[in-house]
Amino acid sequence: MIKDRNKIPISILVCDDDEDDRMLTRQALEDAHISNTVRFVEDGEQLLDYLYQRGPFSGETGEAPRPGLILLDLNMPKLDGREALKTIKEDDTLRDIPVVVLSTSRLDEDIARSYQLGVNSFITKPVTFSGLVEAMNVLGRYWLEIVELPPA
Amino acid sequence: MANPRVRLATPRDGTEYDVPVAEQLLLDIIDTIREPLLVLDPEFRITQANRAFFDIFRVEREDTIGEVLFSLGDGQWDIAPLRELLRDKLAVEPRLNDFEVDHVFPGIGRKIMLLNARLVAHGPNTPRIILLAIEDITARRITELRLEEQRAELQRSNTALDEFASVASHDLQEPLRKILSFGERLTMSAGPAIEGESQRHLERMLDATARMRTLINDLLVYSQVSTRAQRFRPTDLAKIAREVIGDLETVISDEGGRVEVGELPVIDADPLLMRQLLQNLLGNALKYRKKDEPPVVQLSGLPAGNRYWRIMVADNGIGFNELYAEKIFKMFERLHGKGEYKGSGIGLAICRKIAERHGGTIAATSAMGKGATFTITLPARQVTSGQSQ
Repeated sequence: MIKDRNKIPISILVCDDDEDDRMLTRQALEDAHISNTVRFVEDGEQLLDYLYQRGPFSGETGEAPRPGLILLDLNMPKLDGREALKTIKEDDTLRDIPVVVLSTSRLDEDIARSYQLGVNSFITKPVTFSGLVEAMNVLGRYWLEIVELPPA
Repeated sequence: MANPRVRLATPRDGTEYDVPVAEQLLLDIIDTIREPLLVLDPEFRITQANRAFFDIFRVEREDTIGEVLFSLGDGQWDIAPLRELLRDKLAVEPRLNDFEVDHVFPGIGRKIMLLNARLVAHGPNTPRIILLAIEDITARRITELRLEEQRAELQRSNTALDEFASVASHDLQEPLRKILSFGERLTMSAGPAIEGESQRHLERMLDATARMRTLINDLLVYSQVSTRAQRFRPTDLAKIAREVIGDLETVISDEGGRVEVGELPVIDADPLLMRQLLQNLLGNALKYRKKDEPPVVQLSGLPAGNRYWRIMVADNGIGFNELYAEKIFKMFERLHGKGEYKGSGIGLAICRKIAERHGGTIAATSAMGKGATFTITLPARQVTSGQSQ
């Protein structure tokens, strides 16, 4: 179990509009033995609703606990990943949550733009499942074990 | 008003014609000419017209001679640009060539005419006359317009085709990635539990999916060669060759082979496409090796005239029947079974498209069992070079 500096296990929030990809990510995280809580939202609008605890995520706290890491798809309906990323990185209260883009895009402009907006890492979705497990492994080790994350 | 003496002499026998004969000769010449020709007096009255004029503009001699041009055929010739030409422009510049007039005649329809006009005087006391030669270029212009339309249409459909290939292969990658990922996960979790036949079915399914992925990737690369913005810049082929050979390192050392690199130039090119080109050609040279002989590939360049470079990739592999030297560059053409050599059959089509994109060519020579040589001829300089960097 990976914990933050106060040794409270952090949760991972995955934002992806594709159901298959959400299944694959969940499975890959599991296969990479990352046992942290994983929650899913399905587009940028839901992601911001979650982070600001509004709409379906308002009410009792605990329903939408602040994530320790966000895995973000770029191409999504309604509010896409770029716009969501911009909002997160412009908000003083959200900026310190690490965001890793996990997208099928390998376009130079997508990568450059994401880093300009302040993304912490950009990963192109591996085409094989073992590749995805490997990526989750490295991601987990790096973000959840090696680096010190800001206190929640 | 005294008419001047006009004498026409043929230089060969010195024969001189007197005026009536000379005039008749002129009229005969004018009449023989295939282009409509008019002679006008200063008031734009038609004093002479040739047969071509009557034929092409379907008017009678009796209705023409003596008429003011602009009132000819109930004013059909009252054309503003023509008035402007004869009245104003010719007064300033007495020799005007290639003046285009596009006019719809109520009687004979649209005519596109190319005019030469002369304002001439044959002496200080003679009235000036206007000569007007009218070339009917309607048919030519319409053919040109139609050709241009067809060219534009062809370009549109080519662009659409490239875009289709690009979009199709992009969108096909998505479900394919999932089939591969779920398939792989299924093999991991359920593999041991399923037996014999079923396991082989699963393997075959995943193999076929992997082949499809290669196919789609290559198709995408192929379509991107022409949809990519043209960015030619000085490109060091020696440096690119080193990088590509670096990427192929394991393949080369596994087979105990080597790639010998000779002189390679710096040319104006798209570096990414050059990389793709060398990757495909060197990859092929190593792939189609003889089973019992380590692959040796020679990559070298030679100037071809002042403006071109010839790049050669020669191998000691299995070679091919030269009957197929042209066929191998076609999309999906393969000379070997899929089991023997993997690949999509698009690699060389990509190479050809890259060469053509640079205004160059690619050709192959070979003989069965004697290795193959691929020769790419590329311009050293590109016109658009240096526009973007």
